[in-house]
Amino acid sequence: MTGGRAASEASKAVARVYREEWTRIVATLIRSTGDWDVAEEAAADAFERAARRWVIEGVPRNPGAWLTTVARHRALDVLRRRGVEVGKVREWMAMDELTGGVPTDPAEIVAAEPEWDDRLRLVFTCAHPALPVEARVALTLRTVGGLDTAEIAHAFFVPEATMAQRLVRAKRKIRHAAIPYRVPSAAELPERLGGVLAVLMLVHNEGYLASSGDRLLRLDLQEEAIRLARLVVELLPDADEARALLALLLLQHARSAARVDAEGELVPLDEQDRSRWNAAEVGEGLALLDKPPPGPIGPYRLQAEIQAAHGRARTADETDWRAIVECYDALEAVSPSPVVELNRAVAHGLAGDTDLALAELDRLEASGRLDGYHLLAAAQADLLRRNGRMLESAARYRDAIRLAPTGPEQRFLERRLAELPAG
Amino acid sequence: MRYMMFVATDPEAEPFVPEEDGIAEWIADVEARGVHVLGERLRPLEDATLVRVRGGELLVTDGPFTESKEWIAGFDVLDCRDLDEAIEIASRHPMARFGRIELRPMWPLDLEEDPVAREEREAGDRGRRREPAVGA
Repeated sequence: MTGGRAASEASKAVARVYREEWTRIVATLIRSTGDWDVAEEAAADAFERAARRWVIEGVPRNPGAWLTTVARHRALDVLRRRGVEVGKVREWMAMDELTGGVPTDPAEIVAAEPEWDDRLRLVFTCAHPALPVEARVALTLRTVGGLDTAEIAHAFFVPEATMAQRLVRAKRKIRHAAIPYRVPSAAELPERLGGVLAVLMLVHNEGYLASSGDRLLRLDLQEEAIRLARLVVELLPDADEARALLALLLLQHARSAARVDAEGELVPLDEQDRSRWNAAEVGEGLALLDKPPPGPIGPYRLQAEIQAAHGRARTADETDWRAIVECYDALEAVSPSPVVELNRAVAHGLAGDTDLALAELDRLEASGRLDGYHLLAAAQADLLRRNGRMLESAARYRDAIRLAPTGPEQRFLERRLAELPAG
Repeated sequence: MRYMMFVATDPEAEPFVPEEDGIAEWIADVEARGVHVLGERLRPLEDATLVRVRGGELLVTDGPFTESKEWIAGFDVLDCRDLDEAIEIASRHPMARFGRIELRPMWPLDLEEDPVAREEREAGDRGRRREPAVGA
C-alpha cells in the first residue's frame, strides 16, 4: 500500500529530523525571539505540522530548512498575537566572514561559526549556576535534548505537573534575572564548563543506574548525555575535561549489553562477557584519552582513566587495579567524596589488599557519611567473603539487600548471599 | 537590566581584614565602567525606625525587626548587560568574601496599568516557593 508506505516514511523522517534538528531550531528561535517559551512552542508546532503534511506532500528535499521556516513563521505569529512588534524580532544572523587566524576565545569562535553557536549557547544557559541544579538538568533535557515534559518527569520519577512547574520557573528566572544566552568568555569558561559537564554527568547517571524502580538501564538518557557531550567536544575540542567526560560516558555505555543478562538481571563487571562490550565505543573512549591533558588533570579525566583501565583489560584478571587505586588517590585529592573513598577501598581489595580495604571501609562506616548507602554494605560483604569471614559477610549482604533501591540490584545481592559457602 | 545588590554580613564568611578591604578600588572600577547607578552603606538596626499604619493609625517604633544573623550593611544599584556581568561585578566586591551578596533583578512597574489586572497577570510570579533542595 503506497499510502501506508508514505505514512511510515514520513513518520520516520520526522523522527530522524527531530533528533537532528530540534536543538538547532529551538536554539535559533531563542536567539531571534529572546523568548524560550515562544521558541519551544513554535518548534513543537512545526514538527506537528511536518508529521501531518509530509504524509500528504512527501518529505521535502531539505527537511531542516522546511521546519526552520515553518517554526519561524509560527514564532512570529505568537509574538504578533502577544502584541510584540515584528520589528523587534531580530533578523537571522548572516555571518560568513571568518577573519584570519584561529580565535582562541570560545566566545569569539562561537561568534564566527553560526552553524553551531546557538546550540552551545543553549547548553551553557541551561547549565547556568543561578538556576537550581534539578532545573538545570531538566531544562537541558527539554531544550537541548528535545525530550518532552512527560518523558523528563518519568525519568526523574516526579509527577508531570511538578516537572512542568520546575521548567516554567527556570525559564521565568532566565527571563526575569536576565541570565544571558551566550557562551562565557575565556576567563569565565573553566568554571562554567564545569557546570555544563556536571549537568551532562547527572543526565547520564540517571540513565546509568536508575535511582529507583525496577528497570536497571535507562539507555535513552545515557545516549542523550553522550550526544550532548559529543556536541560540547565538537564545539570545544581542546577542553580536556569535556573530552574526558565523553570518554567516560562512552566507556560505561559500551558495557550496557553485558551489564544485564537475558532475564534483565545485573551482571557484575568481573563476570561480564567482555566480547559483548561495544568495541567501537571502547575504542573511541580510549582514543579520546590518548592526548595528554595540557594542564592539571581534572576529575573527569581521572574517572575516565579508571574506566579506561577496565576497557583495556581483556579479562577481569588483567585489570590493572594498582593504576585504578592511583587514579582514586588523585581523585580524592581534587574532588574528595565518601563515594570516592568507598571505590578506592574496593580497588585496594581487588588489588589484593583486602585487610587494608576492610579497615578503610570500617572507618568510612564509622564516620556515618554513607549511612543507608547499599553499596557500602555490599562492598563490605564482598570483601568479607573474599577473606573467608562468611558469617559477617552474610550479615552485610542482608543489610545491603534491605537498602538496595532497585529490584535487579536486590536480586543480585540475594544471589550472592545464597552462593556463600557455609562459614 | 538593573539589579539591586544587597551587601550583607554573614557569620560563616571570612573574618574582615581592614587592610584587604578594596572597596575604594571597587567603586572606582564600577563608576569607570558606567554600571554603577547608586550605592550607600546603611547604619545598623539600632538606628532604624519602623513605620506601620494599622487600622488607620500610624505606629512609629524602634522595632521589633526580624532578628537575623545576616543583616544588610549596604546596597548598590547596578545597571548591567546581563546577570553574568552583575555576578562578575558582585564577585569582586570585598563583601563577597567577608560577607555575602544578594543580586535581585528590578521589577519595573507600569503605573498606567490597572492594579487589579496587573495582580492577576503577575500572581504566578509572586510568592513562589523555592524548589526543594536536591538530595539532602
